[in-house]
Order: sequence, then structure tokens, then C-alpha cells
Amino acid sequence: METSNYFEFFNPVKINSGEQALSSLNYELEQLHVSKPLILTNQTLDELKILDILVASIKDLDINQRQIIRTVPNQANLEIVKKASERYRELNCDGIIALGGEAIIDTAKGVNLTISEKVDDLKKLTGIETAHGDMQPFIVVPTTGGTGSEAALSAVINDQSSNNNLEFISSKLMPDLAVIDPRMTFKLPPRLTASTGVDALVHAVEAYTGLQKNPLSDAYAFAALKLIGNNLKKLVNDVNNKKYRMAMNNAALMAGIAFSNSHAGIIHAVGDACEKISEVSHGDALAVLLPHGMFLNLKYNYCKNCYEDILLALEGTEKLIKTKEEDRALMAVDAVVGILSELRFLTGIPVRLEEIGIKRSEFEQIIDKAMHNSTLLNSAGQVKREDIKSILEAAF
Amino acid sequence: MKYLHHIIDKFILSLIGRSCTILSDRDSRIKKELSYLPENFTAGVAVKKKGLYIVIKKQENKVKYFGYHRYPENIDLKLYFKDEEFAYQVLAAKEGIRQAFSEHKVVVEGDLEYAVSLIYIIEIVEAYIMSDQFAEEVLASNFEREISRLQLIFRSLSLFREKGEI
Repeated sequence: METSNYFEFFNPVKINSGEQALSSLNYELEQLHVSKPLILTNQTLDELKILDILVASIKDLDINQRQIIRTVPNQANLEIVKKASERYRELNCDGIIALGGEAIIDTAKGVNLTISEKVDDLKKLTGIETAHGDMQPFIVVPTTGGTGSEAALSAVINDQSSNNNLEFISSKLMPDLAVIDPRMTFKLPPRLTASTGVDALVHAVEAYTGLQKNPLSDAYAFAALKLIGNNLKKLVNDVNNKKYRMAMNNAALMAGIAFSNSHAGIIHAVGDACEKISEVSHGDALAVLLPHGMFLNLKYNYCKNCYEDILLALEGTEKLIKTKEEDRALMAVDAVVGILSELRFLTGIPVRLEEIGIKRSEFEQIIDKAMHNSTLLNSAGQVKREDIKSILEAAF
Repeated sequence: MKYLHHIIDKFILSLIGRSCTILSDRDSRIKKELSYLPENFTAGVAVKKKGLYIVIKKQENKVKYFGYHRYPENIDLKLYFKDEEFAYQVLAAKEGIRQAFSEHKVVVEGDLEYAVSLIYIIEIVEAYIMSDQFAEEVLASNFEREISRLQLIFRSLSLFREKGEI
């Protein structure tokens, strides 16, 4: 099996990252001609005063309380998208700021689609590259380093009437600006820090081994892996350390750019299916599945070659040189297991599916769901039901 | 050359649509995949956005073929290529549709889970009508035909398309 000789790579997002990054927001909003943004966030970020930091950084704009929607739920859904879109129109807003994690960012993407495409029913835009209009200025301030949503061209929005997750994939969904400020993620506790770090690790590993891997996405994925290898464990040990926090935020962002272009694969597909069928946490499912998915991919030579690079990124040159060439791929899996084991010791992240409440009787449903996840088409090899079953059995 | 590719695309796409109908009655893998789609599900496949779409519909776990339609409205799923040359690569068995999808060459309007189902179905149909080598490449395993290629092509070409509303 060979990798592709054609690729598409897209990343137009301006990234302002580092200490006091939010201080650039006034200037950037002016550049984007935004004077009346709609801010999407949730109650927790309001209570933690993280919203206050954002509002203080754009005090020149005199933000009206109605411009702030604090009720975005933990899963983006059509109802909140509709409500926020109506508010946007009612107040004549001219830009969107998403302050939060994946659900809030996906909600903001949904609002942007609704407004820019002038649709009442967002369901009409489900699919790949269905948006064609000019988008509204869109700024993302992520608060959970890990998802990479701030640089991803996809959004998942739940249709509560059918309990279906609607997927939207479009280059138009990319924000104009992502502001990565360490003040916004400081409050994450060790367990959540570990979980989001593993999410970024999965994105980087899968971006490096998917069918659409390419020199550009490889560069981002490799850099992300290097940062994760050097900083994740240290950060979980010392969650208030600014240097480690920024490193992991940047890693998550780069992993997001990489997987957004070269796609995720089998680990993500099975993780999503576990989340949907067994209602377990996405990060927990990925933490359990990662080594087993990597182990399965060892049967493909091109994945083996990629894993050598992963070993280099995670463990450094010395380890690579000391490891026999034929053992390097396996040692890369071992390096990932090492990271996960330490995170388990520090925070108790799970290592078995049974531990997080998945039942063997749910396997068939999980396999069905995973087989129909579009990321599976980008995974190494032509994934079969037996492959997914073997991962689930090994991880159980 | 482009015109030749256009003719090949049109012929193969029509053959795929017709073969879906025949195989939905005979092939266990397609039957299983069809069971994932809702009843009365409709899909259109075209070589480019503003081209002609073959339209198929699932009814009682079988596929009905409605022939070519120009940009059909009110169907559940549209799948087309960004350019006719990308379509040619797939329809002339130079590249699997899964590979084309992962290379961002395919555009989907509609539910992605159902699009994945349709891609699996097209893969199986292509494996039937193309060479054994291509079948092994796209499916990464020994492919067993549950009806012979010749029989399938003969029955497909003699199939009448459904008339009336989709």
C-alpha cells in the first residue's frame, strides 16, 4: 500500500499565541472590521471569570450583555445554533467570537454557516464543502487545549429531534483568527489536562499515518508530537506551569491543523463510536484505544516507517539510534504506552474499555457506527469489521 | 481525450447505477450495507457538480435505478467529484473511490454516514465490474463474486430504468 501522490492542504487561520495574546484582540477585531461581535460561551467559563478576561480585553467595543450567549451546552445542537443565529441577526452583529471548547466552537461554526449561507435549516448544509458564500469574521479563543477545533474545518452539531450528529466539513468553517492565551486554559485540572493532551496525541499520531498524510501535515504532526513528548507529563505534574501549558496548547493546535488536512483514522472512528453508543467520554475512549489502534497499524509497512518518526519525536534522537531499526515501530507504540501509563499513575486515566463502562454486548453497534464514520475511509489499509473488533477485544 | 473520458465516465456511472439494482438482489455484502440506509433513501452520483446525476433509491432493501437527472432536487444525498478528471480516475479503475474521498476529491451534500455506506456499495460494484487485480486493490482482500461479471453486465445493460417521480 502506498500513500497518496496528490494532496490538498488548507490553513488560512491567523494564530496569535502566547502570554497576553488576548491583548492583540482589539487590533485584530479592527482589522476584521468587527465592532459588534456575538460572543458564545458557557456558564462555567463565566463563573471561572474567564469570560471577564475576554471582555476586559475588548473593552473598547462596549459589549452589551445581550451580545453574550452563556448557555451553550456540552454538545453543540441545532437549537442553540438557531437561538444564537437569531440573536446575531436581531442585534445586527458583524462577527463571532467563540470562547470555549469544542462544543462552543462547533456552535459558533454552525452560527457562521447559518448566517453566511442565509439558511433557516442548517441540516440542508450537512456534508462536505456545501458552503459557498462569504463567511462572517470569526475568532476562536480556545479554553481546552486538545481538540484542535480552532484550526479544524469540521463541526459536529446534534439534531435533537432525531438524536443524529450532523457533520459539516468545509474550508469555510475555519476561523479567521485563533487566540491561544495561557490564561484561558490555566484552570484545567490534571485529569482533564491529561485527557485533552491524549486527544492531541491521537490527532497527531493519526495525521501522521492516514492515507492523506503529506509533507505539510507531517511537519505539523511531527512538531506537535515533539511538544507532546516533552511537555504533557510535565504539565500534568504541574498544571499551573505557563511554559508547559503553552507548549501543549500549541501542540494541540498543530495536531488540529495536521489532522484537519490529512484526517484522523481508525482510533478516532472507534472512539467516536464508543462515545455515541456507550455515552463515554471522548478523551477516555481515545486514551484506551490509542495503543491498540497503533498496534493494529503495525501490519502496514508505511505505518511502520511513520512510527519510526513518532519514536524520534516522542523520545528523541538518542533513543532512536539506540533502538534496532526493526524494533523502532514497536518502540514507538511502547513510547505511547509509557506516556499513557504515567498519565494513569498521575491522574487515573483509564486503560480498559470495561473500566469506562463499555459493555461487550455493545460491540456490534460500536463496530457498525465506526464503520460508517467518514474518518475510517482515511485510515491505513481498508479497515474491516474484524479489525475494529480486534481493537475492541484487545482494549476491553 | 477529454471527450473520450467523458463518454467512459458516463457509461461506467450508468453501469454502476444499474449494477447496484441487480446486486442489491444478489450480493450479501450490498444487502448488508443497504440495511444501514433508511427506507426510501435516495442518492445521486455525478462526475461533477453541474453534471448529470445517476439517481438510485432504496426500497424494501433493494435498489431502484432512476437513470440520469440534471442536478436533482429533494434527494437525500448527492455525491460528486470536484472535477470530471478526478471522476475518470475512479470510474476507469485507476484509483479507488475511498482513496479519492481521502484526497478531498469528492464532495458530499447530505449525511456523511450514509455517504460512507454509498462509497462501500460503489466499491463493491466496481470490484464486480473491474479487473480482479483492481478488486483486490480497492478491497484489500480476495474478492468473491456472488454473480459472474458477464452475467452482471449483461443483466445491467438490459435493465430498464424506473419511470416517474423519484
